[in-house]
Amino acid sequence: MKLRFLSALTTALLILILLLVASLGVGPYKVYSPHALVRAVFEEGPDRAVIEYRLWRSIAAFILGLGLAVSGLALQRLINNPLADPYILGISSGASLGFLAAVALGLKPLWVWYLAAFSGGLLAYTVIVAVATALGLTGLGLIVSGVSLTYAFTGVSMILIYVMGPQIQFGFSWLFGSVAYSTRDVIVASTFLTLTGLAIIAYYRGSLTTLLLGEDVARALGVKVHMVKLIVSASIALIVASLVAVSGPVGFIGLIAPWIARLAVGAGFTRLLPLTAAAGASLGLASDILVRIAGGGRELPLTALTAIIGAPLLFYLTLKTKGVERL
Amino acid sequence: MCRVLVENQTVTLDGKDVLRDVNLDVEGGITAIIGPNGAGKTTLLKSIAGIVAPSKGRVLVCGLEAREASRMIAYVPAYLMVDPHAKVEDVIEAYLHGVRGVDVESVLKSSGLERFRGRKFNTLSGGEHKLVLIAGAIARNPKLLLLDEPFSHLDLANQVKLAKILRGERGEGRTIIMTAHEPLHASIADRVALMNSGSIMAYGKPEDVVRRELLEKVYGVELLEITVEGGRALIPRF
Repeated sequence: MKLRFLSALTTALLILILLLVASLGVGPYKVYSPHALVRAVFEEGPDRAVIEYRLWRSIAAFILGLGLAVSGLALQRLINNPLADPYILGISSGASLGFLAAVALGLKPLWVWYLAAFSGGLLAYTVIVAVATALGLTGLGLIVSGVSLTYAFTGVSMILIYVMGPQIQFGFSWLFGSVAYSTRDVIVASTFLTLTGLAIIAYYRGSLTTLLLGEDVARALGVKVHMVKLIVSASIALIVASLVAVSGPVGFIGLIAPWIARLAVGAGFTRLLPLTAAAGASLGLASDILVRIAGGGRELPLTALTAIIGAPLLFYLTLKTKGVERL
Repeated sequence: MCRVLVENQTVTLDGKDVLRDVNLDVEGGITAIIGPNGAGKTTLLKSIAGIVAPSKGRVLVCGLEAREASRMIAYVPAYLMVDPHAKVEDVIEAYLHGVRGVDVESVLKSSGLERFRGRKFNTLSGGEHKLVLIAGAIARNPKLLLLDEPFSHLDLANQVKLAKILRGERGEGRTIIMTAHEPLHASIADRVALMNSGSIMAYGKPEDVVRRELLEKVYGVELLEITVEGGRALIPRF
């Protein structure tokens, strides 16, 4: 088991390094060979500026994938549903609505945007948990409720963008999802907040391992279930909110990355966490490389690309986990 | 040995008293809680495990409030559905969190469950689930072992195997409390608590509690008493 984990993690890290290099070298402007890439880094000139731009973009894609993946994994363990993802359950769209409202109202400084996004994400999470608890939903019923919430929040976001006036273009391109337009201060702030959320989730890895056995057994074995759920939920909302500021409401990475990690190492949280993080970061980078080159010179929307890959997987997993039976 | 003291305990769930003024005093050995569906057996077990808080009264486990005694307790639920990708090793590992000096491999070996290595937990039968969960719980080396319906879904061979395991654990000085649907399983216990409608109707040695007239009254059915090879069994008249 340990050997399997180590070989899976080594493979994931190698893929991640390759994608990092590719992310710096590939783009519509120019494709650099690894050799040309190294030369461009050390020589003054336009190539260095291109690499620097791509480096910031790569950091954004890396942290986007990593954060969404880890928050998806933690969410799945908290609500005991492998189909959960911050996007599917409406947390991303809640955070997006909060973020857009702050932008539309012209609120400043930057931390107010984050606070608004965090509040929106937390509100969405609270609504979905309250609905699930009241109606006793755990399986597919919970997913359907989340999707409904996503539609509702996205609808309000669209109206907000429509009335934003001169910022309408920004609003729509942001809603489509991209890491291309993030400013450096946003990337730095989001990276810090995402890593903070990740550290909190990693701190509670022991409790999240025991929660595999359900809340009752975990409680009997000494896990402070309410406190862990509260803190980890807030961490998920923090990560999602900070990533919404970077890229808009990008989905499905939080579903795909934990699924890949589970196929490799089973369901032990301490093994899943690093592997999911590596798989998520790779997916973030790979998705961003694809949106750069697949459109033939025009950037494709990131949200659309991850949805095209993620939606069939959700369908497949729903059938495989017999979610219908667990309504 | 760990003493479990339940004093005047009432548990109210959704406005209904699921347990009413329950008193129980157990120290060492195996105690079986029997009774019809909805009698409150699982709720009593959960309250001892610190999962359900009493609205009145208290539960002391090894001298501590139940919620503070989790290091002494291992609890096995009647039924468990886990992540579909979870392997048997993952489930045992989840039980072992916070336990030092014990690894999953040694648990698989000592419990004779090596044949389940690498198997997905949800693909095992109900009886096999029980054996894995009980192995994980025992590996925590608890002073108090709480088992909800441990004999359900087990075939005859595994019932005998489990009885042997529980007697062995009793020999190690653990206090074991289990619930059982089938009064027959109370025969492996040292004491039996018979519950009905949230109250304990009788508590004592199996031969004093598992009696025909008492069970007929609680279950509301007619029973046949069969005596074979010096032992006796009660079966319903179908």
